[in-house]
Amino acid sequence: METILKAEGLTKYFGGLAAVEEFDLYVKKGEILSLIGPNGAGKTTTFNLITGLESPTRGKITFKGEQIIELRPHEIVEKGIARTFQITRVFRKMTLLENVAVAQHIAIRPTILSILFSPSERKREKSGLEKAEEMLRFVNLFPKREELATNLSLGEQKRLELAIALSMDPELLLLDEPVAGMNPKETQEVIDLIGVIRGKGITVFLIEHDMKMVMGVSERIVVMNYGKKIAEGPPEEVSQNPAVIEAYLGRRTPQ
Amino acid sequence: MKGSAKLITSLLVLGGLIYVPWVVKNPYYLHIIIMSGIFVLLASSMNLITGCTGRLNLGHAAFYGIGAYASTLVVMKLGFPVWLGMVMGGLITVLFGVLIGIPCLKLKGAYLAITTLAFGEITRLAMINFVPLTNGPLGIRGIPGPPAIGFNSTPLISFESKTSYYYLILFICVLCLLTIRRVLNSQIGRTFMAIREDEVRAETVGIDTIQVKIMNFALGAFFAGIAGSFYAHYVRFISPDTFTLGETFTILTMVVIGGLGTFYGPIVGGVIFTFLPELLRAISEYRMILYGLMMSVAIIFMPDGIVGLLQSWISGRTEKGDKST
Repeated sequence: METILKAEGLTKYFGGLAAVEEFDLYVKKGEILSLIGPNGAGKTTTFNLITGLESPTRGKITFKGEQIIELRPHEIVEKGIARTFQITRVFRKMTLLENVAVAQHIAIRPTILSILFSPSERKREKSGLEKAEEMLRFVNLFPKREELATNLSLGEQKRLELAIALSMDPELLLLDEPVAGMNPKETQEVIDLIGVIRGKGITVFLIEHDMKMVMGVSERIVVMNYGKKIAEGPPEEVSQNPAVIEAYLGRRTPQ
Repeated sequence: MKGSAKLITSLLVLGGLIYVPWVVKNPYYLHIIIMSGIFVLLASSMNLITGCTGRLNLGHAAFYGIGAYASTLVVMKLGFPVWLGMVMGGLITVLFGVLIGIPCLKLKGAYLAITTLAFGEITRLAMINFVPLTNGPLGIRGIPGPPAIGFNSTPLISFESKTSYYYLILFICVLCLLTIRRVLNSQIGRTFMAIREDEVRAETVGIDTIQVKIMNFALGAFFAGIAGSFYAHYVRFISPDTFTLGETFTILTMVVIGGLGTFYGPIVGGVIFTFLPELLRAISEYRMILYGLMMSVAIIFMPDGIVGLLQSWISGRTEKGDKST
């Protein structure tokens, strides 16, 4: 399988603190890859570096063979990488429909002149809204499409994030703790959705703490601690890795 | 069904507005109505920047003033026809909107407010001190009005009466407001809202926020500039005294009490706050007390403005979350 995303020697310092240090990563097309690690290991920072929200101190990231480090976030979205946020960042005072429709910007590409004078503009906007409705149906939020996003429960907000990201037809989808704070039933729903998403040929790269989910859905796991990669491999292998057990549970004191 | 009901309501309102000069014969009242048209434009254009995109622009009166001076100067110094001058007034203001928009790209909240406030003051001081061009604090008088519209020598509209100006501002308002409504209901309107809600998040859904913010400033500047150029050719006298920080706050009041970020809010606010000071003239110096009191009450009980309040009554769309976010 070809590599869709590759990071080499990725390093990010916040002042003197290395949030991510000499981190190498590859994501293969079509796989489900999980990034795990204790709190503060640098997982979300890695996502921020890939999506252009932070620029790395050193290192490079290529997407489909193309350097994406210097690009602005919206340009990276255009290349085909979409993401969700751990602490949900939906547009709170906009309706669900507006939340997803606004993400159709790249498909519509409006200008002042086109919205005032181009007859095809309304058609493009309409297809954007239809796309938004379709995505809301997919994550089971269609009945609430006219509600403001601020009225949603946490689980619903996470599903809305998913709808927003998916509506941009990404090739690579980054999910930052998609089931954090969800009950088992909601978690299962999201796991099922991820299965469907993968079935559409979208590569999924996720951060997650819920071990049941990580072990269940991932084909490969990368483990981070203190900004560095400490293990990598299939779920069974990683869960047996002494370094991983140590990072999560601490070292066994010699008797 | 719903669409046709809306259309009929709009046509009825427009018909009523066309009928106004037959009812209002007093030129003083008609003058106030014309001024309210100007303020509807100013409030709506400020709302584009401050309400829809959430960027507090305290230099809005400068856009108003630049439009007025630009139109006046291209007509009086360069000999442009008045109609072209008025369009130029709008376009030159766009240029300044972009110029002030670019350094403000990274600024938000209080920082943006201070920067735009400084821009407003600089503009006003330039009007006062750049005497060869602006005639300084004395202002410019004798600005020509628009030429008569008609066939050959038989004018249909001659722009000598208040009535003709009333129809002109009505026409400009309808045209500008239709444009603004189209923008707000389009994908661009949604990107404005998204930037107001969370700018970084807006980038991550594929929006070029830099481009959109500059476009937003340019658009707000354009309509304010048009309002300014109409003002210049209507009143026929402009001076720096008109385009002060106080004027910006008047416009801000209209937007906030009318309904920040709504389409109808600035229209309602613009009309109310042009009439109110005139209505309260009877109680002379006490009126500012009453004015202040009314504003405090309005802000406390209607944080989303008059239109916001009406909308939430109609749709029952209540928010459980806190208002501060």
